[in-house]
Amino acid sequence: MNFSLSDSSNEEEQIYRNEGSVEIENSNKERDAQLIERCQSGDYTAFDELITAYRGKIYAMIFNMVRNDADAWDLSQDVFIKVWKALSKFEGRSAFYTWLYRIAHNVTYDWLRKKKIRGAGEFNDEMLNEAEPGALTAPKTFDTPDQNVQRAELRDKITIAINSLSEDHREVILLKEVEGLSYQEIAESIGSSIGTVMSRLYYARKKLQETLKDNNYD
Amino acid sequence: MDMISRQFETSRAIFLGITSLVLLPILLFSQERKTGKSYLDNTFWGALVYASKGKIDKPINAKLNSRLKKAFPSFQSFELLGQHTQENVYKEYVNWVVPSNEINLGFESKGLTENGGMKLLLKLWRKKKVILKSDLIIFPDKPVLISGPEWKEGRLIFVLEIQEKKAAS
Amino acid sequence: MTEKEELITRWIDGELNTEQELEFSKLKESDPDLCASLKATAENVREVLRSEFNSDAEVPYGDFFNSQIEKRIRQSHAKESEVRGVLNAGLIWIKSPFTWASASAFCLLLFLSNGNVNSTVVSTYSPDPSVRIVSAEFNEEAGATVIKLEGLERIPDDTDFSVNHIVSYDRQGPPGFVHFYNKQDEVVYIMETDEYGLPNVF
Repeated sequence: MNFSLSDSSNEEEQIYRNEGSVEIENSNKERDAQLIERCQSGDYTAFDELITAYRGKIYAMIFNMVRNDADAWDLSQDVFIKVWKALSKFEGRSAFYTWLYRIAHNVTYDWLRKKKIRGAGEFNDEMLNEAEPGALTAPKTFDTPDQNVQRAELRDKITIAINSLSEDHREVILLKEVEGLSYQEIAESIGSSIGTVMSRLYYARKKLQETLKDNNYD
Repeated sequence: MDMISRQFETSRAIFLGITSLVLLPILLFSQERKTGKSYLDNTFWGALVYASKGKIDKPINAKLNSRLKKAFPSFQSFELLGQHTQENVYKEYVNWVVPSNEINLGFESKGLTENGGMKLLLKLWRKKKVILKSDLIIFPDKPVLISGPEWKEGRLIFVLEIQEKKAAS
Repeated sequence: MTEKEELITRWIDGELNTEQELEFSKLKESDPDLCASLKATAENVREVLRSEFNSDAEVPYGDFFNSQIEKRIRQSHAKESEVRGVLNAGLIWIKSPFTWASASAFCLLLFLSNGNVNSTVVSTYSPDPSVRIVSAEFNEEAGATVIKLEGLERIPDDTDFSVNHIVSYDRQGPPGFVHFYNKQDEVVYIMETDEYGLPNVF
């Protein structure tokens, strides 16, 4: 059974969104460059603006990995403290946010290693429930009640399957599909090669496909 | 004048030498005494107390009673609901104070400070929800008192104290 | 990763260049089911991920979040400056005999005293918006760090705490499990801390 959640092709919308987001991205880069320059000359108010600009993204990214709001809150602070200390070394060769994500990745992984949380092959129902405070889901409205039920079931299965991936695979899938980073940006964020990124993406998708096939949602 | 200043310099050097010989072991020994050999030597005592505005049949020990009265003057008496001692508190390992189904205090050691304290991460749980997170430094004879939820006509209070390990008799 | 796997991944992500598109069209002809199946999964996954996971979220207590970062940075700076200042001044101080005399007297005093330092609250916060931290500070009179909270969910009056006089405990059994015993050496609680730090009481 080939069941898709997508309602229709969104090509035109995609093109429009891409053009708009390129403009926003360029303007953000300019803003970041100015703020970073001020930070590097010791202006803390500029850093406070950077924190405000990126704290939501960093918090969300870390929360997606650790699935606990209190820990994500603490770890996000740790990230920005490390950023402040390392800002003098930031040369602007990569985009600021990929450098920032790299630090967030390192902080999160160090924490996960300490807590010995390994998601490979294991799923914890409580963690899914605990995720509620941070989750801002807006369920789509569907055409028929039957379709509603089927889509909800598929959504649950996919969510379970994603949480059963190893950290490495889950992180890459989240950075690609949720954060929308390119292969290059993901590679810079996690400190790996593009080949590794693509390999993890491929195997993560394959594993998800197998999991969904086992549950007759292929 | 040259001879006098040379003599002064020599005397000063001798004085500095003797002082440092005396000072160094004192400094080292006092530091050792304060921090102890390792965090494994540290023992915690934890308790759950019921603070009431009325009278209680089984009051707690006088010292703790006095502390609690000064910290929470609106309560008249305090009853010990539960207590236990926890030895060998390991770093980064969650320890629990007087558990129950309703409320739990967990704490983790984050290592010693240079002046003989211990860094703690405390988490207070109401069932499965964290309601308080606190980073603090605790010293012997300077406990942590946390007022918890209301129960009956009073309130529950957690007590956490670090004790120095007693030498074997 | 094989070339085939790379082509499929790039195709799913719309990252094929012209040359790769030609290569892929041959691959698709040879194994259309695999390609279609993987793409369908990827699209379903993408849609669920975007609805279940956020790329941006409101940080709880945003202003407090920022102020905590600033506080920690300033504390760390103060510590570093203190160390640098001490090192620089050290050379000057070390030459004076009066410094050594007073330092030795101070050390003797320190050795004889109990080191009168107070417990300190570094940071406190509640992730529960209904809970209010009334105070978190060292109370000189009580000689204790006192943390007062308001807004906590009340504990039912019929809750029985009589079993909480725990005499001993041990960590035997699976990792993360602690057994608590009463005076009669009976197990009154088994406490499990799971890998996410959540307490489970049995």
